[in-house]
Amino acid sequence: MKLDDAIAQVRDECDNYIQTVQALKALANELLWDEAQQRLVADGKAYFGRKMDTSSANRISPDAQVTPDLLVLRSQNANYYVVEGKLALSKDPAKREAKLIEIQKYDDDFRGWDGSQGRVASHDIILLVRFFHGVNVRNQIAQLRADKKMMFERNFAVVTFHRVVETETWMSLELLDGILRPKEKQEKLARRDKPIRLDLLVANPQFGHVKLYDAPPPAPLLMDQIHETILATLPPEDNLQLMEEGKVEREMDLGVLRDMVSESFGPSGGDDRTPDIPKQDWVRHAMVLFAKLGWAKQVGRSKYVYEVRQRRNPFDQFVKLRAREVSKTAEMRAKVLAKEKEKYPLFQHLIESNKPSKT
Amino acid sequence: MDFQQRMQSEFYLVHEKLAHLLEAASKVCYQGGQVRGGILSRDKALDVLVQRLQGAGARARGINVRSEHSPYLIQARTRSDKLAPERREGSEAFIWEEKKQGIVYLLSCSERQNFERLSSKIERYLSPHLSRIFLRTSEIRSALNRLTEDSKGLSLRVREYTSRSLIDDPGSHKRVRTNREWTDEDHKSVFQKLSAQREWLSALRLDVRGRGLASGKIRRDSTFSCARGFRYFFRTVVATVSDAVVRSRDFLGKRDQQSHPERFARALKIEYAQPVFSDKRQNGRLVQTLKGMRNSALSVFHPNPYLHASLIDYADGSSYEIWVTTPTSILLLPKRKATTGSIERVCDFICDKFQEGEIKDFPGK
Repeated sequence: MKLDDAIAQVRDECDNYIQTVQALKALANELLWDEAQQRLVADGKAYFGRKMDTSSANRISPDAQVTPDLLVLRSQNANYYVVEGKLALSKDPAKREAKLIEIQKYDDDFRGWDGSQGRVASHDIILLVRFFHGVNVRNQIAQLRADKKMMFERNFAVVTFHRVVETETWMSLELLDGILRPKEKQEKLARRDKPIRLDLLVANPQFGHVKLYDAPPPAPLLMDQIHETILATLPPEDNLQLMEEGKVEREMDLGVLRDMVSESFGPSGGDDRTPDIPKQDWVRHAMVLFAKLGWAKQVGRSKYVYEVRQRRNPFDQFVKLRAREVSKTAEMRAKVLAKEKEKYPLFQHLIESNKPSKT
Repeated sequence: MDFQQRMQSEFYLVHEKLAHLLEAASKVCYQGGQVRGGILSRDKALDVLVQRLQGAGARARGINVRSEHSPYLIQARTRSDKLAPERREGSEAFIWEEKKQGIVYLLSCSERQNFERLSSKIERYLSPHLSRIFLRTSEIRSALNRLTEDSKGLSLRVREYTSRSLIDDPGSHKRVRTNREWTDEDHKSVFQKLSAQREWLSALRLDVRGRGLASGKIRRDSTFSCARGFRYFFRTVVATVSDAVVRSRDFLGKRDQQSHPERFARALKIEYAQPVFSDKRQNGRLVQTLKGMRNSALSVFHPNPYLHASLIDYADGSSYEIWVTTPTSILLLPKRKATTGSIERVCDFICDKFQEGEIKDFPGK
């Protein structure tokens, strides 16, 4: 793979992740929107990745902790939603099936809802998928339900999203299948007649700052967030040193750094059910990449010294670094395939079909 | 000792009271010299900031405080020539605060370049507690209108102004031109002309006529200079610009996540009367403009057809998301940290170097 192609691929991955977070925010915004008042409901809350406890009756994960991508509460109307975003679904139905069946783990009497009891009477389950996956996913779920491989005691709906760029940029949501409460919301989403303006979503005071959800972001995005967080938390004397000497070193413990990035870009919650996003492993991996780039060096098991400099175009540098890795991996894979083909000429068609799916 | 040196030695005496300093400044103007000043915003008492300037760190950077009380006389080495110490240059300025408004004034009779170096040096050393506030054309216009409405018999005659406007020629490598005009017009007609020609103001030299006579210059970076009638100029034009500075600071300040207990950031929109971004090449121009901002870094996540970027201000670690999703505006979303000084710098940079627009709360109330 050429470096330029790899760069384009990495940029796409980053854009997809950003779009996914936007889609979750768009759905949160929609579910919290009060049609009568034309504003977000005062009693509404959205949690991006709250840790919930399952019951012993859970068909997929009994007595365990699960982290749905989004939880939305409208306590006054007793409307509660559990949303799972499946944005990177395979085109292959067989590979997709396991991921879809797994969603049944959200069809459960969860503990961990906001409030004194921690439980609610019922909640609706929403599967959020990309617009171009929508019809295939809907049909497959219908088949799985007919085959009794998938069943729900609660309301279950499939919602698709896509970004609409015309004179202005919008996020459009559509209810493709299923039931949602209240009925007006269900009808509105089915009509797909009121997309959400992207700028309103971005500037949403409640969750505008959330840039990470319960899936690892592409490394360049997280590296950019780490770089920004370190700069934002420098004491004024370090800022002064950076301006005067052009460089300042900062020793960072991975745990502390994770907490700082989480505070800047992760979901807020303020209690022990707030998910650990980003996960420490994601941050560790990003720091390894910083070390490769020469911007940081490891000085202990979980300690790094980060060299803060006035770096220009940091994101482009992170993308290039990741793209070089992607390109190198692709080249190595191509070499292995070529060798295998040479070794087993009669099985060439099998070797080709064994290529990993792009999605 | 030449005239300039004599004037400076008289001006840079330790003045017991502010009134004495203002009298000395008037004398400089009377003798044909110029007095320069700046209005800065502060978020800590000046005494606390001066204490910092009296510390070893400041001394090592060539900053000295020569008086024990306000107005404090500050001396700074503004250029150091290591090879030829005799060529080192310095500058001096008085600093005092207007407690009620939370602003400080700098006043000097040094050369403009030296005064600017001293001002930048102090700002940088006291960042983020001391910040420069930038004013847009509409803010300067409103301030001057308020002044003439509130002071009977006072008129403002514009003698010279510098403005900027867009170059429409697509073949041009430059997108913004600088215009300078010498005139003698009422300030309102000048602002009307600027608006009609879609120009934005950089600096304005005015004659103030009323109970006194004064002549001086104000700039969009809240600095001023006066060549005649300092006391009157200070009481009228500088006072009204100070009010505008306070308004701008109060509007743009405390918008980042860390200023809010719930981590809410308050977004801003720079809105244009025309659909600037209908032409998608303007996204690219905005990116190029922002890349030219000193001490900053831009990360572009999505360039077209909508723009999504992130800007870091290395001067104090502030950062922003920048979005262009509508044809008529730029959305600026402060992140974890965005100091008042930094928001002012970023907004001014976009307005001055890309195109001036109206800065509004987003979403509006």
